[in-house]
Amino acid sequence: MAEAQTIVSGEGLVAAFFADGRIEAFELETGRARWKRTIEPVTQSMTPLLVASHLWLVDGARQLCALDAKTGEPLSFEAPRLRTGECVVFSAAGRVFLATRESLGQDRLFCLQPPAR
Amino acid sequence: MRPDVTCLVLFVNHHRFSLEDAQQVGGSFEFDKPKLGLEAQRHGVRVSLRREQGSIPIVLEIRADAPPAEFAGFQLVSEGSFEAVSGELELSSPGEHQPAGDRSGKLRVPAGWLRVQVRQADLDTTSKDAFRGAEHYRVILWPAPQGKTVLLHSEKLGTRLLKPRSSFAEVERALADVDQTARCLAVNEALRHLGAGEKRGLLLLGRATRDPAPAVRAVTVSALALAHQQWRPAVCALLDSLAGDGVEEVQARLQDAYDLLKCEALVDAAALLPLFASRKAETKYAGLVALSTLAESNGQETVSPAADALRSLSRDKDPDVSSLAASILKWEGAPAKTSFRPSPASGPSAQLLWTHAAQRPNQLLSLRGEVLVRELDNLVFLDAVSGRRVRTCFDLPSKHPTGALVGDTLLLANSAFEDGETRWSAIGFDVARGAPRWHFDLGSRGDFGEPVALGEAGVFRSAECIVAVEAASGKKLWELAAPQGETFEEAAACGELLCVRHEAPEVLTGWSRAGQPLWRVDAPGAWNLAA
Repeated sequence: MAEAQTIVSGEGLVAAFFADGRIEAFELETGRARWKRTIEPVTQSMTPLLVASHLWLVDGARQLCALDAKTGEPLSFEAPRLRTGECVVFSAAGRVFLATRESLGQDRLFCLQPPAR
Repeated sequence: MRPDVTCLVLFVNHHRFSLEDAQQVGGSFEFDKPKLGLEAQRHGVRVSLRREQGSIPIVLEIRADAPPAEFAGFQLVSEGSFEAVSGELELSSPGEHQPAGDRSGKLRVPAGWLRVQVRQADLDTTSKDAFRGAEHYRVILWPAPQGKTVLLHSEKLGTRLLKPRSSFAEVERALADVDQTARCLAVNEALRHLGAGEKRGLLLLGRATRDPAPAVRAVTVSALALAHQQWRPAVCALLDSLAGDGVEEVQARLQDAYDLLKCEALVDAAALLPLFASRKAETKYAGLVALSTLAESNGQETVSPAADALRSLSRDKDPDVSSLAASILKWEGAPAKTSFRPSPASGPSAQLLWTHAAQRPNQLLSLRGEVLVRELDNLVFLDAVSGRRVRTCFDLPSKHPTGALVGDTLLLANSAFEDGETRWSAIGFDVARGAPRWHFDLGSRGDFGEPVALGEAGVFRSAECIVAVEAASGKKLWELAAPQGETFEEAAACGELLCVRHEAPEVLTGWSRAGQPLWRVDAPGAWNLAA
């Protein structure tokens, strides 16, 4: 197996991010494969966030996206878009925050309420 | 050949910027403790600054031959050589890129070996936290055979306040000089008057914003905007001067404007319409880029007045112009303030609660129902429910972008460049009071990374040592020195445990909260610890 570039764990899940855009999720306890998808993260410097049963990351279209931790299915929602820069994803008080650092345009902080479990 | 002069303001990070052949960007410059001066490599040069981060005015001059050795007003002048194989250069600082030349951001120079002379001025006005000051640069390039890197001129650097060096009358005279470069430098002198609290500085800068040379206006607007956060007068000056200028000049200042001011209110679609009528694709493109920035923030409110022009531009023969115009038109029906995909009709959905116009947010923290946003050296407190700004702590005593929160104490690491070395300190900042609670001297044992919260303690790590201090009091709890031949590369807290990644050899070690060793395992290839 190719070497994973980033590994995120939590909520009974381990998600491994590979250089070719693959994301593979395994059960934390058993190591059994749960799901896999290919969504190229926009930046290797942004660590994806596992919160509220979803894996949050910025995709190749520079939009925040969320994958269901159990199934890998993407959550459709009004997704903030990053124009040209970098970003930080953060969670507090059950909310998800995306802070963008644009190299062109206005920096923003977005606050989102994830779906109820 | 008449020297080709470009004035710009570069946002720098990590005490340095580079000027490199555009096809060879990313030279392997050594990263060491910041030293002032020039380092030349085969395809570029790196310039080390006293400022760690911020906006630095730079005058770029391309000449046919060597400049006269007149160094008055400059404190450090060094010279080196590099080869510009492609005839295009790129100016950048880590994480930043300055479009210095044409639309692609490249600066055109004669291909082949170039001599570069870097003149550094006002280095001793840099504040102790290395975030503020009037440091500025002149970079001169000319074709010449390869030569050694030499220091041509150096003055002993002390520390002085940002005081006017020239009298008001002298600056006034300099702003009327025939040479536009002299006028650019006079802008810096005018800024000193402003920095020293003399409102007459604004009068001089107001004149400079109406200077006949676009370069002088650009550097004035940029300097006003970022060096002193006086962006409102800068925006007004920019808008006032839009009408009477040629389109190329407007384009140049728009570039400064949206690169530097990042101000939504900068221009509106109506102000941009004359640009869209230009016969030059470059000008139309510049206007469209400005409009797209506005459109994303303001939605249909911005796009609608320009919709007819955009529809016309979407059929432009230049593919860059037509595709950008078409993409902006998509915002025509978009709601204000956001640029979102439509929500699905059914199924689980996340909901956008609010947005906040931030200024270079580096880190997010939370405390008692508030979100703390680290923006440059300020800490902005937002109500997590409404997004309303509650308060702001200005001028945190650390230039490093991230810290760790333990209770009400934000743990920060800070460095100061003094007497040729970088000294570090740990700081406990009381976020409730908005003031430092304690300082702890970490010495000069390498560069310290982001602090780590470990229970009630803060852990500060450099390659050479790890120091744990009590977050509430700043009292040292314990300290570790890296084993001989090893370095501490990273540290992360996992509950009651501190996990440390070493290099040479690559191992992971675990430590108790009291600093007692618990385990040590080989970890070849490990590179990123996440708690």
